[in-house]
Amino acid sequence: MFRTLIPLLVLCGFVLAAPPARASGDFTCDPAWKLNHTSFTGCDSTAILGPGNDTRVNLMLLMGDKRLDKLSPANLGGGTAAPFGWLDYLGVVYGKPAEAAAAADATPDTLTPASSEFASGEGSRCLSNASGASGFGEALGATPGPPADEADALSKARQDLKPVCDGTAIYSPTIAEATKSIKSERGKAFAAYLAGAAAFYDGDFDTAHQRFAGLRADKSPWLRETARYMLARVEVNRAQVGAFGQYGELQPDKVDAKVLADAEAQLRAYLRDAPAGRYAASARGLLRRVYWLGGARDRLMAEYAWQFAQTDPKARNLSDGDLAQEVDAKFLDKPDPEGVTDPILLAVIDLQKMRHSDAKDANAAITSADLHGQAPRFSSAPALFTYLLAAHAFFVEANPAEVLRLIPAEPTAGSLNSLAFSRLALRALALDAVKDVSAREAIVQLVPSAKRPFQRGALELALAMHDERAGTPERVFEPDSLVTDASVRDILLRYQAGPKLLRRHAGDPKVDQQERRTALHTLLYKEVTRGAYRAFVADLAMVPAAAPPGAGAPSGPTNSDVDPEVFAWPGRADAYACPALREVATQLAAEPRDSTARLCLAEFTRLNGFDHDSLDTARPADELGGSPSQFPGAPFSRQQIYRDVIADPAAPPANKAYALYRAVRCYAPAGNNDCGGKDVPIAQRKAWFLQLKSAYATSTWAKELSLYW
Amino acid sequence: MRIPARLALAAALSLAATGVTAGTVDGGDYDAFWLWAGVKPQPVLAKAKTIYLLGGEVIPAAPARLIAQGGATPAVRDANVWLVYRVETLDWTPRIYAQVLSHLRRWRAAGNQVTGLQIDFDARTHHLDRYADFLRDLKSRLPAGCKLGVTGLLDWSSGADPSGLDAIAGVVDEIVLQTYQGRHTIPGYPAYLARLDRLKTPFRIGLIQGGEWNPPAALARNPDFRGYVVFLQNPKSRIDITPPTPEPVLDRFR
Repeated sequence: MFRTLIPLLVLCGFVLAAPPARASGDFTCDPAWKLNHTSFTGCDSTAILGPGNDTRVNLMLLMGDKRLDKLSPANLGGGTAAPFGWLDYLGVVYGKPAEAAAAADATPDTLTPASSEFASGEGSRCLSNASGASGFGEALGATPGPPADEADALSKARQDLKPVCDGTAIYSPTIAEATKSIKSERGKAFAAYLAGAAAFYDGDFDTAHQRFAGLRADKSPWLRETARYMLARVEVNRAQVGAFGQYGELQPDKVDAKVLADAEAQLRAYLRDAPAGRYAASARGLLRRVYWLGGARDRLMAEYAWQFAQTDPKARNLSDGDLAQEVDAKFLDKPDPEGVTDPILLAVIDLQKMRHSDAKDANAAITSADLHGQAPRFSSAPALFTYLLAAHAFFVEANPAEVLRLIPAEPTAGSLNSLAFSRLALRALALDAVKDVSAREAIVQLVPSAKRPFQRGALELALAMHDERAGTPERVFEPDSLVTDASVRDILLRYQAGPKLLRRHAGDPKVDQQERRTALHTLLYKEVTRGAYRAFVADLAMVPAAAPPGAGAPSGPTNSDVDPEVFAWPGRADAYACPALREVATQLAAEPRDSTARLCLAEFTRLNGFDHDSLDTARPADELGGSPSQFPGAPFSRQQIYRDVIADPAAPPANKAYALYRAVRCYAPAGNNDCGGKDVPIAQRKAWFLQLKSAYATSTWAKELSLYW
Repeated sequence: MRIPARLALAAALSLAATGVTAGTVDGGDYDAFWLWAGVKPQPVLAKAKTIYLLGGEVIPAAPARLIAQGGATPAVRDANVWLVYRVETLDWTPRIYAQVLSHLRRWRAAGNQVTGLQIDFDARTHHLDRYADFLRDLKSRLPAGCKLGVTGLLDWSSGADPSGLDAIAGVVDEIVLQTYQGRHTIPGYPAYLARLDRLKTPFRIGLIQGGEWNPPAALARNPDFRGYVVFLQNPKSRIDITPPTPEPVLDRFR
C-alpha cells in the first residue's frame, strides 16, 4: 500500500501554519503601488527579493533558482505590475490549467487522491488509505501471489477498509473475519499485512509493529519493502500519541524522545536499504516530521537544504509551493539566524529581519555588522550575500549609493533567475533613487530578460514611477511604451495626467477603448469640478452620442466606475431644479460665482455618485500616482460650495436655504461627512440647522429637515 | 428643542464612547477567542466559553483546494468550538464540500462540542448577493444542529447594499464583525458601528488582542449583540499572521 506515498508530511499532519494574506479571485488585495516595501502587509510582494515580500515568496524565488529551468513552475512567466500576495503568486505559478498540469508532471504534488475526504495538510495517518489500497491491489496480482480466490477475498477486504482515524470504529476484527478462511502461505502473508494495516489505522501500534516485523524478510518484494517502511511509520505515529494539546498544538515536552529516536533509526534504515524505494520521498517527509516533533532544528534544516538541492523532481514528493508553506510553518516560525547555515534559509530570515515593522523591537532588527558576521555561511553563495548587503543598504539604511558600490552594472542576456533579476532591478532602483541619468535605461535594459512571474510587472511599475517622478508621465502613453499593464496606466491617467495628455488620449482612435473612456471621464470630471468650464463644454463633444457604455471594452476591475456619458446629465426638474450640466458649465464660464449654477454642479455630483470619488482622493506620496497631479486645481468638495453660498450676500434666499439644508445633510446619518472638504464640528452643523429653521422657516427645505447629525 | 434619538446616538459616538472595558483589549476580559494556526495557545483560553479554531483554508488554484491548517485534530474540553475556514474563493469543488463535512464529523468524534462552521471570506460589499447564494447552499449541506456563521466587514453595517446584506443575514446564524485591519484596529470604527441596527441578525464584535476598543454606548442596547470574539496574537508576534478578513473598508478605486 501507500504506493504513491503521499505526503508523508501530511500523513502525520505536517501542517501549514500562519495563513497568509489576501489574494486574488473573489478576494482582493489592496497593494501599495511601489517597489520599495520595508514592512510586511501580506499584499506587497514583488519579484525583487526583499523585506516586504512574504517569506514564502522569497523562499520560492530562491528555490526556483536551484531548479532546472524547464521544470520549475516558477519559470512560466505571467503576473501583473501590482505587488501581490502569496496566493496571487501561487495562482500565477500553479493556477493556469495548462501550465499547472505541466508543473504537476514535473513535480509530484502533495495533493491527496481525488477520492480522499482528507484535505491536503491534514494531520491524519488515514490520509494515505486510498493510495495504500491501490498499491496492495497491484502487489496481489504480482508473482509470487496467493491463489485467485484468496486474492479476490484479500482485495475485497482491503477495499472495504476505509478508516477515518477518528476513534469511532476499529477495523481489526473486520479484517480478521474477512481473512479467516485464507489458507495458502502467500495468502497468509498478505493477510498478515492487512492485519498490520488495520491495527495501524486502529492506533494499535504494538500489534501493527508485530505484524509488519514478521514481513520484513518476506518473499514478495512489495510486502517486504512496504513492511519496512510501515515499521518506521508505526514509530512515527507512536511518538505522536499524546504529543498534541487540546487545541491541536504540539507540546514538545510530551514527545517521547526514545520512541522518536526509534522512528528516526527505522526511517534511516529504510532509506539506506531503499534509497530510491517507492516510499523514499515519503520517508524523507517523515524524517522532517520526526525532527520537527523533536525540535531538532539543525537536522530539519539539513533536510530542507536537501530538498532545495533536488533538481530532479522525482526525488521529491512535494511542490515548491507546498515546501515553502511547510518551511514557513515549521522552520521560519523562529526567524533566528543563529545556527542557520543554509544560504537560502539564512537569506530569507535576514530579509525578514530587515522589515521596519519588526524593528520596533530595536534589538531584533538586523544590522549591517550582523550581516557581515554571516559571511562565512554564505561562502558558497557570494552573489546572494552581496545582494543581502545591498538590500540592507537600500531598504534599511536608505543608502542607494552603497547599492551601486556593491552591485556593478552587468550585461544581461537570456532570462534572469530571481537572484540575478533582483540584483539588477535593485541596482536600477538605486540609480533612480540617486537621480542618475542612466536610471531609466537601466530599467529598460532589463525588460527583455524579465521572463519569470511578476518580473516584467515590477519593471513596468519602476518605469512608470520613474516617468511620473521625472514629470513626463506622457512617455508611458507613447505608442511603443513598455508599460502595458492596464492598472499602472489607469492610475497615471486618473491621478497624474494633465488636461493635454487626457484630451489627446481620449481622442486618439488608436488607443484602447477602455483607456479612452477613462481618459475622457477623468478629463471631464476634473474640468467641471476644478473650474475649467469652457474647456469642459468644448470637450463634452467627445462624449459619443450613442456610445454604448462599456461596449467592446475589457472590463478591468478598476474601470467599473468610468462613465463619460454621465456628463451629458440632462438636469432635473423636481426638487431643486437644475438645467443640463452643459448649461450649468456655460453659466459658470460666464459667472464662476453664480450660486444657482454652483449648487447645480453640486447636485450633479451628488446625484451621480461622485461623493468620495477616487478622482478627488490623493494617492500616497511614495506610490505610483502620488506625486502632485499635472491637472491644475484642488479636489472638489460639495461642502465648500454650500459654505460659500451660505456666506454669499448675493445669493437669493431659496439658494441659501437649500445650501443650509444640504450642508447639514452632508453629515447624515451618522455624523460622517460625505461632501468632501474639512469636517466641521457638530456645533457648526447645529448652527446651520438652527439658521435654516429660523431665517428660512417657511422654506420647503426647513420643513424637510427635522434632525441634524 | 427636543433632541432626536438618532442625534443622541450620533453624539455619543462622536465622543468616542464610554464603557467599562474602554481601552486596550485584554484577553482576560473576554470569553470567546479566535485561535489561528501559528498562534500559541494562551492561558486565557482556559476560561473560554467559545473558541473559533481555524480548520483550513480554501485557496484558488486550478481547481480550488482545501489546505488543512493547525496541528492535530483538537479535543477541546470545556468550550464550544466553531470550525473556521478561511476562504479565498467561492468556487468550491464537490471534493471540498466532502472534506469539510468529513472534517466536521471527525472534530465532533474527537469530543469537540462543535457549534458550527464559520466562513471567513472577504466579500466585497457589492458581491454580497453572490456570497449569500453560496452560504445558502452550504447551509443546506450541513448536518442538523450545525450552525453557520460568517465574519463580516465593518462597512457591511454602513455602505453595503441592503438587499445583499439582508440576504446574508437571512441565511447565517451569526456574524462576527471585525474592527481591525491586518493586526491593527481600524481607525474610526465607531462611525461604522452606528448602523449596526441594519444587520438584523445575531452578531458579535471581533477584536484583536492588544488592540483598541471603546464600546459605543448603544451597543449593549442592541438586541442582536451577542458579545465579543478576541483574535489572539502571540505576545511578540514573530510571524506575520493575518487575522480573519482583513479590510478593505474602502476600495482605493471604488
